[in-house]
Amino acid sequence: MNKKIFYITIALLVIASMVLTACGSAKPKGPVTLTIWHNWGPDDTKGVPLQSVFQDFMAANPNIIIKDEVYVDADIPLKVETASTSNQEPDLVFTVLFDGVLNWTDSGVSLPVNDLITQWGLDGKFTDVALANFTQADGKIRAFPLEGFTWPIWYNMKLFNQAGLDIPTTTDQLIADAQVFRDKGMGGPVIASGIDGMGAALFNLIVSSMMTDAETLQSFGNGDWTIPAAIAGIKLFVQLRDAGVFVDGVEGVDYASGGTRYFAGSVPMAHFGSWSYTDPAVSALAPDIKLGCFPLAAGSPWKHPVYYSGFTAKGIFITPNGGAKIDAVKRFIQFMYQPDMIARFVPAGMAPPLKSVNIDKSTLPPLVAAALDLPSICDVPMPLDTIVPAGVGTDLGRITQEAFAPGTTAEKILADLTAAYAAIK
Amino acid sequence: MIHSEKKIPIERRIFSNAEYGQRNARRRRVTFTFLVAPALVWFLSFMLWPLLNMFYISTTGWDSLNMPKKFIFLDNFVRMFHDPKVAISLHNTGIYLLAGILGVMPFAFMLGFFLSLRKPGYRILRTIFFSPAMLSIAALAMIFLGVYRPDGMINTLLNSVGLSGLARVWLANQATALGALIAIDIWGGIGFNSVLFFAALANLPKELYEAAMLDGAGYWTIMWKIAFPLMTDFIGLVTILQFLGILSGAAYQILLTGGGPGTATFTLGFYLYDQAFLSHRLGYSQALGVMIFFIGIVVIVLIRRITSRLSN
Repeated sequence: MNKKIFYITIALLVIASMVLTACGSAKPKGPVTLTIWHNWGPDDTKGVPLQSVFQDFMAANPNIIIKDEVYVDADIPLKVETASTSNQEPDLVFTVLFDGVLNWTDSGVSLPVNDLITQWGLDGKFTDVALANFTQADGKIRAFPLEGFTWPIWYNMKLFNQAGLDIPTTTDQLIADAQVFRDKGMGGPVIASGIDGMGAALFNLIVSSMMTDAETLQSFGNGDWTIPAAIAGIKLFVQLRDAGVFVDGVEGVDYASGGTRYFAGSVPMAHFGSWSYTDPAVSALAPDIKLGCFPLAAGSPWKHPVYYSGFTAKGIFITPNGGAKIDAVKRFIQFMYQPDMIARFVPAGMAPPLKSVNIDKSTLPPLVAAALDLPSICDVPMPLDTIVPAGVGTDLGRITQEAFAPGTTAEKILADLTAAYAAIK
Repeated sequence: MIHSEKKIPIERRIFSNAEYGQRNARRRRVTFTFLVAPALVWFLSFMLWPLLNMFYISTTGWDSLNMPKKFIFLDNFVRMFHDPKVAISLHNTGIYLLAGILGVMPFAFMLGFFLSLRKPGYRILRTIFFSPAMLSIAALAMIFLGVYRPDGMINTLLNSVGLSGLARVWLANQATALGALIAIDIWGGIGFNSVLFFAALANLPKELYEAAMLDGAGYWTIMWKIAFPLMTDFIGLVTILQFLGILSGAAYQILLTGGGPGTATFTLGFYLYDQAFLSHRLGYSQALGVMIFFIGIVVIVLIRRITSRLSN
């Protein structure tokens, strides 16, 4: 009996000590760490304002630490997806909305932010275009829009003036100008990086210039390349290529070498995005550059020359790990989306996703300021980032590269595009 | 002691030895199992399981690491038969293999033989030949990017000697892109494999060469009539390594051409990578992996048969 009581007493003591230990070991709340992956490193002009936002946020919220890691933009989606399979993903991801990232909300890599926009007091603050770019067909908003972009044609007016030419507004003028430039030994006037995605953007812009947005959705979105407008767009591209509009060997030019040649001042036209407006390499050439748009061919449904503009260059995605620290995330998002915080990125070329950002044009770098005038002189076809289905983007790049190569027929390009879309069905 | 042993009846001694032998064999089996078990567990966990998993995933429709898998049985394999990119990849891989093996092995063997003669300066040459293997693939790709660029080394050289008509955009031209990649493999492969051949040829008895030379044989005859027949097994092994490297490799496509222009540099290894990492079709990529696996087995058996016939 005594033995039995002894054992029961010991057992009760053990249980009591465990309960007391559990109660007593509740850790005092320490700082929360928010891990953020992005590509705005020290070499990027948006890297400096981003770090200033981080520092100011941590100063205002001493119990939240931001641990940011910088990766190449193209590598971020796969890194996040792989990390996500073992729940090791960062809390927030700043990345471009394109290709595989389009599936993130449905596959659970990121959380939809519809309710958060309302709950966190951000309703009505984003521009309609910015929100539309991040909204799925089923109404889910994939992420908080962050970086808006413009992607115009850069005209080197010094070279145009030397050749006695003005900015072309029609493709017939462009073809005639190309001949003038070639006759003067300056080569084809348009440089594009035929070997990578930057060339693909120019290809898409030229093809889209012959289509309405509905037709763009039908072809680039759904893979119907039999519609007359799509065929006309491809034929226009081939016509321009065969007329010598592009520099020789454009199919082998990459983004870096294309930029080097253009910024050396030897090529009249290029297609660069807003991320290049404040590139240090541009500064010497900036006074000679006039931002404009791509000329139109006869039969185009657009009234003015065209350029791309949108907000898919960067969004802030909340992952399930971020969802587990939702209070800290809320504080950061509310801090980040104050107009004066977003305004810090504008001089670096970023179009703000918020309606109420005050922009003083006189204080902006010349090309950033010039880009603000583009909407009044150009039209914007539907950007393709969110309509090209996941899995087609890579093929599209390869087809474009082949399209830039002399001898590739419009029929071959159309057949390849049809096959690329068929492969995902 | 010996005397007392002699007194034990022969039946008893046989029985005792047999019993001892059984006990000994059992002990050996237990020891063997105990020693082999870790390697076996490692093999099953890290070799066999992923391999079986590849077969399983090849029967699924799986569009992203974060999406659920859907069992579709043989659909991926049926699709392969109708996929023009598989045909293109097979064709390009065949060209790559032919050029990468026939363009490398004979020259590597000859260089290896030359090194094994240990002529003055062979140590420096051996280091030079082996140096491509010491460079990372990314560094090699950067070097050849500079060589093949529109304003790169080859075109500059051609322009400077008045052959600008031959200048090409080597990596972006349908007709030259695959050849440009194969040339990198041949360039690196000859040197690397020659050092392997040198190591094996160095072990051949020199008396054979001396005897042949006394009979009036030159180096060419010695190389092909004496060294080559003695090395057929090793040549088979090196050929298999070269074959496997080409069959499943995709590094230069990833770094230099992205499979383009169009599908000009698609090989089976690259198409697998493309489907797994760029196009997010994991199930289909593993079906391609299964195909590559079986092609590998068939060709390895073929190479072993050829080399064993040659050695016989």
